[in-house]
Amino acid sequence: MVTQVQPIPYGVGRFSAALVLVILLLLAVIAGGVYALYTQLTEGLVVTGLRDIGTMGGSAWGLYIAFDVYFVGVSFAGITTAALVRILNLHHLRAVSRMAELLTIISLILAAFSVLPDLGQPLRGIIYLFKYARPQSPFFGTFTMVIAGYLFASLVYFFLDGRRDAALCARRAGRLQWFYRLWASGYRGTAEERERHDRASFWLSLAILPVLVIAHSTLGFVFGLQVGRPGWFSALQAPAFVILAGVSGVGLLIVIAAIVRRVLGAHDRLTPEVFRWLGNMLMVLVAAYLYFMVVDWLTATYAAPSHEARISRAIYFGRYAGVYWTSVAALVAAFVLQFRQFMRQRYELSRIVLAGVLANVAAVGKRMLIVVPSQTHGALLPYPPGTYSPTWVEYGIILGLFGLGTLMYVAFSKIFPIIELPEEGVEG
Amino acid sequence: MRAFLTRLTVLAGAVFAATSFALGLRLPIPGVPQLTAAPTGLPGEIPYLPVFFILGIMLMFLSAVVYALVPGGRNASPPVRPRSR
Repeated sequence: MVTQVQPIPYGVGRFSAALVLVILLLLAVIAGGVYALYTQLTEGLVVTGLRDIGTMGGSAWGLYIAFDVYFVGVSFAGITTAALVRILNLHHLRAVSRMAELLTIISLILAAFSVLPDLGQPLRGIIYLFKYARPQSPFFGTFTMVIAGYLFASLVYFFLDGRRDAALCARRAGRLQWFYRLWASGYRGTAEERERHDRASFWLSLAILPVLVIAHSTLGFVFGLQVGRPGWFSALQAPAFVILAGVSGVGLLIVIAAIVRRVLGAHDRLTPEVFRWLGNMLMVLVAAYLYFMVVDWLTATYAAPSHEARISRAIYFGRYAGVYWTSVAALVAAFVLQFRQFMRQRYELSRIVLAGVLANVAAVGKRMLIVVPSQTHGALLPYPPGTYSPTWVEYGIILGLFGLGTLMYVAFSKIFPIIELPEEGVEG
Repeated sequence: MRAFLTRLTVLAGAVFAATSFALGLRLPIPGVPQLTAAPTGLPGEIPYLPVFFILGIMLMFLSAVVYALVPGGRNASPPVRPRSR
């Protein structure tokens, strides 16, 4: 193997003063999150806004679970995009493929971390889940399919997809050469290897897609199968979860791709065509989700049972109306922004990014509305309506998780090309 | 002798990949009938069932890595001499 001296492209191994500042800021945010978690672990869940349903007039699931669902949702777009690029040969999107895969892996790690603070005894929760989880429970499916199937499959795909670039990076002298060699694991880019790699990736992509849908559906079933909880028990929960997952994931992928394009100056790889594709994907998914919302609205307001009607009133006109209508407005605005561009066939990057941001604002709001109102306003026993307001501890932990995720993303982009390296022979 | 060893390596790789996939497929099976165990009355609790389930799924996906990494056919032959640059 010939060793080269040129640096690896896309900013790998290069740290500017601004980047160091960003890393320090992220570390400070993470430290704040750790302190919040420490406060919760030492003083108990009483420092959060979480309370028992009914007797304590509160909500047992709150910000942590809402963001768990959000993070799992975000992960959807990553591996879906990567798999679709492989299966449908979407060459336009190849440049965002690795970004998308990394987004999936980091989001799933954050999702696991955001569930843990919700448990009074996180360690006991993990051990008991391995030992006693029952397949009848949707939690079993979420735990096994999301963590085992989804995260592991994503890691496998990520590893295989990165071997070619690792082999290219290993040809450059540097401190991380051992790491690149390990990742490349003997890859030399022979015709036989490429054929084998393509075949493995294709079948892996095909296997991942159903796992993906099942994983997101089981997360929907966690809510949708709870017959005693008005507002949750619905056949629409699972498919709506899948669609909203796509909305938030594609939206965030657009934002990340735009940041990477600007910071790394990768205008030649992250072309307007890439954003046009992602923007159109977002538009279709938002339209599908808006349809789900209209169906939900019609069903809930037409002739819903009294308990369902009480939750609907709280969401549409009561305590949660602000969050609901903000989410609706954000979704409609995201759709209109994209649809206008689609009709004119003139796309502006800033507008596509704005649509991505709006889609994520709506997704966070909708996650909160899925989790909380059914607990505060959905009791079948004659309890008065409850309330839930997150405390600084919950905000601190969630912010800390965002800081951790961003730091992981930045750190990875400094040790490995975040965009697939251009085609060239690696043989030799 | 070299050709024989190459063929043996290829065969071992294929067998290893197929075995890991088959084992991965087998491990989650005890859990599958239990997905609807509540109405059918099957025993509801098998200790560490999630572990078997997870290991099975992992092994199935891992077989893709095995398949991609093990040398096969022309790939098992001696490496191409580096081109001088």
